[in-house]
Amino acid sequence: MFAFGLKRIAWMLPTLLAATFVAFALLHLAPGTPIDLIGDGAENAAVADSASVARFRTQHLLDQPLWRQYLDYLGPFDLSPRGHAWFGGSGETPYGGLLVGDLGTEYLRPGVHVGTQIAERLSITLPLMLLGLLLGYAVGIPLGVFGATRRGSSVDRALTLSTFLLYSLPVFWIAVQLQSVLGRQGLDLIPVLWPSGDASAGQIAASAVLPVLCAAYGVVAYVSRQTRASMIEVLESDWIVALRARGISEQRLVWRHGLRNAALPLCVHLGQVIPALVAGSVLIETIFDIPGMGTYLHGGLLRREYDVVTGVVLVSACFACLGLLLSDLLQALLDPRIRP
Amino acid sequence: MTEEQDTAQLGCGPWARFVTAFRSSRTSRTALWALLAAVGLAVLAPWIANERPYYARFRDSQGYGEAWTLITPIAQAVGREARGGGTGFAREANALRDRLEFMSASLGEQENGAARASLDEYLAQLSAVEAAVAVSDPITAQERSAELLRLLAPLLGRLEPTAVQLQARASWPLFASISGVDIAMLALWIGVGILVRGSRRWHAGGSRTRLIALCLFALAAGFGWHWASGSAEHSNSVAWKERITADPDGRAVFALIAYGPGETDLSRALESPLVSEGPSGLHWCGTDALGRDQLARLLYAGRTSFAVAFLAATVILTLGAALGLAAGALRGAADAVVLRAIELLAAFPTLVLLVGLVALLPRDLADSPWTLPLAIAALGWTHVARLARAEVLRVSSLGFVQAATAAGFSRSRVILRHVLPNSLSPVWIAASFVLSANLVLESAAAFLGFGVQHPAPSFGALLSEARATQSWWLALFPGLWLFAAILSIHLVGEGVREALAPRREERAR
Repeated sequence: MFAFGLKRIAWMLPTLLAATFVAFALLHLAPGTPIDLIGDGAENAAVADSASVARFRTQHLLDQPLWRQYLDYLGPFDLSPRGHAWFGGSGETPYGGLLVGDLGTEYLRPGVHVGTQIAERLSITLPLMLLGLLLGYAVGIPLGVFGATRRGSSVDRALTLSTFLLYSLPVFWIAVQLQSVLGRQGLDLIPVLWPSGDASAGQIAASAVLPVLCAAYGVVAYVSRQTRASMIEVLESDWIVALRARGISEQRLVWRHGLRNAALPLCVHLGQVIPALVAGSVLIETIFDIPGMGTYLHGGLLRREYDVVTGVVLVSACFACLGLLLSDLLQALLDPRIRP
Repeated sequence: MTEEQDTAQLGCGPWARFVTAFRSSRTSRTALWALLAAVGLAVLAPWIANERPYYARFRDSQGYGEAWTLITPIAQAVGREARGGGTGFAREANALRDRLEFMSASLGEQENGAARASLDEYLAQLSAVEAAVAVSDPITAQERSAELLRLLAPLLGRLEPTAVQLQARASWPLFASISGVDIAMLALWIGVGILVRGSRRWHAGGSRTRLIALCLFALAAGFGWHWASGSAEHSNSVAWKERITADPDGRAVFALIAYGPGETDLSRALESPLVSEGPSGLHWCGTDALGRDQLARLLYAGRTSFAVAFLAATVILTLGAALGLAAGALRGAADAVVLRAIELLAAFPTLVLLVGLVALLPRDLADSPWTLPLAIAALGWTHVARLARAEVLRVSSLGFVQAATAAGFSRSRVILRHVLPNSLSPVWIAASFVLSANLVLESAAAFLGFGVQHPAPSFGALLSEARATQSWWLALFPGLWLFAAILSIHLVGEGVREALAPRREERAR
């Protein structure tokens, strides 16, 4: 099992490396450089005149071919004029780039490291996402099992219908709608925006309720539908009949034997749920003004900060890959046949 | 099984069997009609909500005045272009002729004899200049255009808006604003409706011919309309309602919702703070903070969103099926490349990569309406390709394919005529989910501010305007509309899935 995990992790590394190249190429291949975009946005007076434009371009390697930019981004050597002496730099910052854990700096706020910013913001995004994921599975699995064991009853039909409706519900609508309805003046039920500045733990917990619910309902709908389908399949199989004939209690039959086998497809879907959660977190954080990774991406896109966008895209790709890894490991854990 | 279904199953192709199975489910039928209706509202939007009247008859003193002031600069441009022999001559001359003819038509029949005479003289002079430019005779053209400019001052004096009597003119402004694409889409939508309605008769086969005929007809209708309504309408931006109400005898027939999507209420735009108005008898879905009618914007938003979703879905299905077929049938290097590409693209959350891609494009590319659908397609084909590849692999090992190979058919014939048609059913099942995913992606991108840059909004843009406001109606109607569209697409997808690949429980019954 340990060897299998190691092998699987080792297999993930080349994928991630290739993913950095794909992300970098897709985001940088577009004709035109960030400096043109910043210049015509007129957001930064410092890069407006041509001399500083030229300096900015050399500093950020924007006048270099794409492969050199990518090598600089990847590291471990810094290829910029202030970089490693081997590559004609002044040797001020010899090492830099992804391989030494450096995701670059923001263009408009020199000295602010994208990596530290993302790490800071993840401390808000991660708990929210995890809470949403756990809540989704904790509610979705029992709902699915409940529907599967009472298949065809009116309760089951109502559950199927409502999860189908939830499944089709766009998160950015329901979040905005909840915000406008619950945020009416004089109706102080629950905060609809993240508290700015210092806030007590209670305030933060209260304002996290809506975002977590919005992140969780999609997972609930998806997971309960999948659980119901695979549970029905499992409960029809012969060995369940055999177990029932042996007089095993229905509780034990469903929750221990049935669910363990029905859980396999669920683990496969974990690899799809996590990227969806990451994408959803961008929308949810933008709506509720949560200073997390999603709003960082949104701000970076609006200011056209290449390093911010590339960094966040890569981190979210890491999450997606982690989701795939987790689903593979869980499958191996649950089903001894998959283990080599 | 009923007798009707029984006979339908006999001696007919897979398409007829699919239609019968799909139609036997009431939910699928209802969902299909709901989807057609939703698309129809988008297709019909300019006919339902428009600030231009269908028909108007009024004395257009405002339009006349505008044309009168514009004549001088255009005539000067004509003179300049004629002397330079420039390429812009035809455009300027046409603009001048349009305005002169408009003024001539606005003048009353009985009065204004002098004004009419000098207008005719001027038009004749313009024709002379055009003729000279056409035979590239610079000296004559220069003389004639000098004459054109010399005649301008007396003409303007005779045509002065206060000096002439205008007559009421009939016009069809709404029809003039409809483009060939609108007509083609309308024809396509009506045709699909008729085909779906009459699909009982499809059992006889020939559906492909009808579909191709329908597409050709829609194309012809669009081009026909485009050529027939060729003359440019020069009063696009003019406020029709103001011009009509300026004439006490003016009358007009407006569309059901007499507001355009971008029509602001100027009297309210200056108020501060800007507030939106709730639903009322005048504005059924309320207005936004600028006084724009929310229902009109909603209908036009459907146009943007559905256009992007359908376009991207078409590209995704074609590309995904082609790549999946190539990977599954050719194996080897093609297979490896496609598989690696799928694996890599699947490593990213689509929305995150999509907004990154669209937002970092240079302005001219980002403003193009093609960018977003093509970007969605470029990132979204992986799922379809994976499904198609798996099915191609499965089908390739079946007996009839081996029989075809053994019969000595060429490899391309086996792949294209035997494997391809038989491995498309997972692609069709995925089609509706691709469509709904595209709709959600487009709306989410627009919500974040990176949608199609278009004067008409999309669902996502409408929803993002509703963010952090207390006007519940701003979010409710676009959201419900989007929700209903996604729901009906999902239900149609479920129906297609059940009709094409009956689940185990259904088969066991």
